[in-house]
Amino acid sequence: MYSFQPPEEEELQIENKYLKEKKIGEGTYAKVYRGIERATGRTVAIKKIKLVQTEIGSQGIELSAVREVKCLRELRHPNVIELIDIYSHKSNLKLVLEYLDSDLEMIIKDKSILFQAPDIKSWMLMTLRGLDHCHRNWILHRDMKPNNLLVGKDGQLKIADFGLARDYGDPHAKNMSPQVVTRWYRAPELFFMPSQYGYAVDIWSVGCIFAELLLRTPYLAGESDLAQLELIFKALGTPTEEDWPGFSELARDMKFQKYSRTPLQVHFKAAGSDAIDLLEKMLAYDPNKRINTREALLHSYFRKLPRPTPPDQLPKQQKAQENAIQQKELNSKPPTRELSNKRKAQETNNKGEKKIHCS
Amino acid sequence: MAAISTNWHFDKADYINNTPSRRDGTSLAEERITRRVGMKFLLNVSWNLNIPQNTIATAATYYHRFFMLRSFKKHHKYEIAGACILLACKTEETMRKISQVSLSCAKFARRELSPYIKDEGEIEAWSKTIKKKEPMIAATLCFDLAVNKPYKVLLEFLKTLKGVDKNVLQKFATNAWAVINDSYLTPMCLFQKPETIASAAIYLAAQMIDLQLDINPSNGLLWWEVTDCNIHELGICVQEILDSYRIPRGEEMSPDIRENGNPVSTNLSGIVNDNLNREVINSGSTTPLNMNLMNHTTRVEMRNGVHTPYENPSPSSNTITNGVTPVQDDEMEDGQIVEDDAANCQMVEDEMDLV
Repeated sequence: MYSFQPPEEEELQIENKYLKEKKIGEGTYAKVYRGIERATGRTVAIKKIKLVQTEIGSQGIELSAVREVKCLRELRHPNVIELIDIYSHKSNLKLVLEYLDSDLEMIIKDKSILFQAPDIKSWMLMTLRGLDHCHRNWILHRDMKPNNLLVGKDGQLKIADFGLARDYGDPHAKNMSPQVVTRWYRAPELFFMPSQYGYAVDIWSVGCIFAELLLRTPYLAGESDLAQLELIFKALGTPTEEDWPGFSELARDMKFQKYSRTPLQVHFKAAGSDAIDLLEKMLAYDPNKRINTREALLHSYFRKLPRPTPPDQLPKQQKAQENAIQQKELNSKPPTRELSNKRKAQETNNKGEKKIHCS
Repeated sequence: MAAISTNWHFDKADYINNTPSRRDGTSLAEERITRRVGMKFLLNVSWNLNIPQNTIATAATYYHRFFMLRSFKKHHKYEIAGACILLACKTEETMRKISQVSLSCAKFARRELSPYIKDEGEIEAWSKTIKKKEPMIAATLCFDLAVNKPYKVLLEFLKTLKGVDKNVLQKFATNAWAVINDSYLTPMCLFQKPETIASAAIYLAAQMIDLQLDINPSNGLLWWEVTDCNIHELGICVQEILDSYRIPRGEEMSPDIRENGNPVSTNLSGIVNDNLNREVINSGSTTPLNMNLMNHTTRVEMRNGVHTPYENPSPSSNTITNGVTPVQDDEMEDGQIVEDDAANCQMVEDEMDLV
């Protein structure tokens, strides 16, 4: 009924199930290897959590690994990355994850790919479905960005990297760290150092991703925390007490330049009125008024024509995945001209001329 | 990998006949004591580190689950308890440094309690052990690190209680909370669902202060239907909780406790029942329970037909000892507990403000 093998043996058995092939990426917290499951030949990603040596010394299993494992064990959804296996290796965890070869950031940056309105709708739909699943399981992702939205060969988009995720809805959840979410996608309330916040922070990030898909360039790319806030206000107008009740209380020590709100339509010329309306609701200043995943999924943007593109017909990066991954490692330099021209040619052959981005 | 199953509900018969420790030749009574001693250690370390009750419950659940899959003969209870605390602190986002945990462990693992430990090597050894055990525990638990606990059910239930006097509600909530805390001294979390434990705590707490739990006016449900609990299981669980307060002394007192334990003064013997579980009293988590309930003990007894000792030795009783060194740590522990309870009450209060 229960397994009573010595743990070391058990771990070794699991380790032997996978063949490590090569390193495909490295982040602050982890190294990712590509591997193969011996029994099935399925390609997997093996994430090895790094032991971070700080001045206080190693703290055992890394917190980010614990978070990721805890959350992913609870989640199973087509739009959330699947945790296939875990094994411990010398006081270090290795996670065996689904292997996906591309991510949304690469697709956005690849200027040879043309986006059409239905494609963007499809990516948004998959992102929101995945996020809705997380939120309904009381999990806050806290690091939504295009780089963490992986795209598989079949076009399915999956939310990955739960290293900052935590469960919310715990009645004692206090003292939450405001130092979360990559700056460009960070919700304005987080800059005021709250000890408590909610699902709305993820929605803001999705709003920024939506804008980035429409613009083909990061929407709010601030150089520093303060510059980021300034940039948000510049883009969306400095919030008034009406936009965000309690804002003057939060910002009492800070002086902000008063920017007036320009309609989003001015920036997003190509987007339809439904898209603008959804974007506006996602980027609402007041976290309580910001749309939630349920409401967003029921928004008229997803119900009106054109229909979202089926995932397998979404535009993909045509080839040279190896190249693309190296590119990601080298902090995403744009692809070489020759290659991008080639892709562009292919792309224009395949797709219509309708361009949606304004770069 | 057996890991994929997320079912952590064990059969009580398995616990009695078929745990790994049992196969290694430990009797049920021995295992029960060992579990309790380990739990007591876990609680002491946790209180020393000022860890919130929610995290303690997670650590306790890890601890009990672990010893359903591994033997006490192969893994030392204190080492596992220490590592469980570190792991639970990470999963519940109440980080404690490994050095803090090791220091506390070193402090409480000693036979003679001394508030200061000068031996760096001992702490270093603890920290090494914990680091080694932690991934092993996580692997044994199949990395199922999210644990459902009864506290949430209780808090949800409190929200549905309307029209009850605030003081009564406060008392009721504190009692129920304390009963849940105490349930972790036994491996109850392995056999009962969190909903059932919460409901049993609600029932007992209501009995203690003579609160009538009727049909809920807001939704027309009986109270155990509100908590979504099976009435049959509830009966068993209540009985189990009551039993846990009256484990015979002979069985309870292991050498470890006798040396570390807090001697109960002789002048209390008149009040303190023979069946009294000293562990529970010393653990202090029952303090509010006992204080509030002293006068209601008889009623509980009558209604349930079981003897439940709820008396509490006053803190002053600690000073009268049987010639053993008066233990400084116990005083500190008491202070800690009061704080802890205050925090709990605060938490419950906060929660009620939300209602």
